Amino acid sequence: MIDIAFRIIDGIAACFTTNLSWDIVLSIYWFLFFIEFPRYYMLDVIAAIRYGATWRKRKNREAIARRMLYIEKPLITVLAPGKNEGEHIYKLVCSLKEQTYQNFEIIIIDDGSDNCSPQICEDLKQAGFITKFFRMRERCGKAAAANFGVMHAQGKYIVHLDADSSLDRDAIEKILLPFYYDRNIKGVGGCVKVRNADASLCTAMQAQEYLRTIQVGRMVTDMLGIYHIISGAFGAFETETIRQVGGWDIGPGLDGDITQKLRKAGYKVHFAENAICMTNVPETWSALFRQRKRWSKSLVRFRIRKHRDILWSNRNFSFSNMLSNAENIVYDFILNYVWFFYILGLLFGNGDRLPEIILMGWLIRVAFSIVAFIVIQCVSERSREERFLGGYLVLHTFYMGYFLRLTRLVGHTEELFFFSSYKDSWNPKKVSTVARMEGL
Amino acid sequence: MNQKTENRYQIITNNNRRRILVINDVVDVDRKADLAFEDFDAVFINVIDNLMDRIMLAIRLASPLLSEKCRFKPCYVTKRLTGWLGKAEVIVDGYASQPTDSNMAQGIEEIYANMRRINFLLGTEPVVSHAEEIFRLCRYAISRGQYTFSSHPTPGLSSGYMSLYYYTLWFEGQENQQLEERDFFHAQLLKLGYIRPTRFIDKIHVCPVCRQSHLLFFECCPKCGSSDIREEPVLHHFRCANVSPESTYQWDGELRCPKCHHTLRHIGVDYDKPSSIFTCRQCDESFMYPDMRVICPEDRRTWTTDDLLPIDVTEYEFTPEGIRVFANYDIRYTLSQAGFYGYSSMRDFLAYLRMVSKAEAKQADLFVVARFYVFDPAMDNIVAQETTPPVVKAMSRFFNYKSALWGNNYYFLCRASNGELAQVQSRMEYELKNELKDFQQRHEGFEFELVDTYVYHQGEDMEQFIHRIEEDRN
Repeated sequence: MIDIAFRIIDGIAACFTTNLSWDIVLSIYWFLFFIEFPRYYMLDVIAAIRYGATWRKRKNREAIARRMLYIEKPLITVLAPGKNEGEHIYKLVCSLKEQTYQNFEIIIIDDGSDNCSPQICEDLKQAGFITKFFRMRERCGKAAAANFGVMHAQGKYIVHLDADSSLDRDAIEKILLPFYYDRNIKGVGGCVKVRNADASLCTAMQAQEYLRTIQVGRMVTDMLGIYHIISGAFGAFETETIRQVGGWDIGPGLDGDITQKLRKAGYKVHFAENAICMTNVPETWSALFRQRKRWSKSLVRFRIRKHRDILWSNRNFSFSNMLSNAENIVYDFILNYVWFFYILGLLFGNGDRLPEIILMGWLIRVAFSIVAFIVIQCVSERSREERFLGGYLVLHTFYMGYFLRLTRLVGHTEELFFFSSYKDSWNPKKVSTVARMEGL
Repeated sequence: MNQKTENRYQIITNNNRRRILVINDVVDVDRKADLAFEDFDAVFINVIDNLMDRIMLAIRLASPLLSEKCRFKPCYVTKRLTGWLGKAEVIVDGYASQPTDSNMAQGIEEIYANMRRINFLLGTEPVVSHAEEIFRLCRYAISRGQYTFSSHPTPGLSSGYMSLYYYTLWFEGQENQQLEERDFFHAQLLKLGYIRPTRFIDKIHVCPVCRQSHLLFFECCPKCGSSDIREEPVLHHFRCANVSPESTYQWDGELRCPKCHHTLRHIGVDYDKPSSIFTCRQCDESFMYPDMRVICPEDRRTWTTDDLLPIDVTEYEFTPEGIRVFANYDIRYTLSQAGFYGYSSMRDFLAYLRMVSKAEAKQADLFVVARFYVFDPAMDNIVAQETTPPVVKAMSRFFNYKSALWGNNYYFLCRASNGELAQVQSRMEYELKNELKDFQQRHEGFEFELVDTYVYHQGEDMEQFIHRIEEDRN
């Protein structure tokens, strides 16, 4: 398949240039061929093949786990902290009512909302849709709100959701099954997909990106044992363990942080690719830029600063933990800067044939994206509905290759040199001030 | 009047030549043979006693509402009792230091002037039922120029608000027992256009069963319903995002975070209190907002606030037509007495039974009817239909029984709930037998015998029940 792609690219390239031999192509696009391709495309293909090959084994394992789950039938706590999320809560509880697994309590924590959310939640509680509703009169931050919820959780497992999420009918059941695969698994991440994919070009690109980086990407990291982020939008934890590790710490990026804490404590985490959660994503480029910048900052703040000890010997050192952090730092942080200088080198070193190089690069990326999209179609549970996203592959280069990389670059740089995450309004000022002073 | 009698009561004449009956001790005015209705124009009660009950009894026996010889006559009380009369104050026209007081004399003249102006007829009917007591109260209010049923919060009343009818309350528990009757009477007055609403006062919430407004409100645990709950502030530690109740931070006299073990020194800098939480000591449930539970002390039932019955408290006044019919005593036969306890005609007695059997009654409600055979030679002398037989007057203290006399059958009815049937039945028989026995001792030739006691259960056919109690009547 790769060979065919190369031949196509070669053929197209030969049409408009004769001085780009394979040697030259490889030397120009080394970043694509030697860094991005093995990590993001080749491993995707391997993961997809493995996914197909182990299908029967996985089904058997799931069947056994499901039986164990329904024999034990533990109480689950569904926890949804949030601010001004009143309008989404009803949709959330409706999707929860439809779940195949029904033994759960719903705890909603209102983090100092300044709209009618508390009234909505209180009404829902009165109507019996919500088990417990707690309200912070002052905003404390998402981590604090979630911790308050953990304190009141009575379930054996906590399913943490974003308030604007909704779930597939079997999502809760599916996210609980991995706890019965291995008793050492204490955290399970669900697969987050985009609900408003058809809202704008921006959301369509994100939908495609989520499929690649979450559904397939996390399958890969899970397969390699370096799964390092249980999504905050949909993740499950054993209650006792989450209390043991002290719950969530100050964000942003608290979902990655809690995963690292679990790993450091010696527990396993797992990705449940078939436990599907849908969420709304930013519809404008500026909102998306801000969101991704914030996510990027958490990499510096938590993986490089807070959890840097994972890279060398700590009390619970494990090679896979080290590798999970190192992979994240190398690919998302260091190689991002490398890419920047690589692009600068291309721009300034090949001024006479820049259009050809850009066009060629785009073609190579489109070819890779087609491969990645085929992988997505192979593993996705709703491949037919997502097929339309293939039409956006031609823009994939500009979105993933340039926009997101540049956004990350800005975010990393701001955080690295200016500690800008401490000024982010995502956290209340009082919390950020203390976190900055204490170097958290 | 002999010396002893003079000490207990005397008649003096004031400056306006009005004769005033001065009562110095508890005197049953109606039973005093030497006192006639025409002998005095007003009453002055000068009873001072350590026992408040004796004072109240003295007022009751000379009340313009209940006493036949004192009916509608101005009634004044010694100034020394100002503020001590409670609800009875409403049937007192004023306080005076002595019976010849000029203010009292002026007040008496004004009352008589008002009665003349509206052509007020005194009437001769005795009060033997609660219905007649209320009739008389309304007439009394009109005779005093009080045309408004003012309502204001009143301590001691289970309804919470005073309205005209409650002025007739003399006994503990009477208010609730006669609630339906007052509602019925009120509805009839409205229907006939004798009263009209003038002002909305308040909407109050009362017990849906007994309409008690003095309710006990409890904040309680939404899970187990216990009111053993405590509220505690919730602390948010900025440093580690721990949020938990203050008690979890208490450590050796200082605040220490249970998660990161740092000491919390400064509110607003290290921590804040964003919320508070209730914890139930019985079941350990934590919750933000406790439920509200309401207990009715009267029937000891528990309700939620949504269960309570909302009631509009409204001010009413007599219409000109109402004033006319009450003053001229045209109303007694206009209003049906079917809904009232106390003595009534047999027709009204049966109408009442039919009415309540059709109404939305509580399932647990039962009716107990005791039937006595009575023979009173004095009744043979009664000719006018309106005249009340002496035995009925003697039994009038049983305001909680509805009674009717038909030939030689004397019926008494009372309500009971399922669990207390035997108790009510035996008490009823005991009370009535003893009262009739007393009457027998005072009236030669009077005979009586308990024929049977009948119990009506909800859902039974009322016509069959009526047939049963009428059997062998004649």
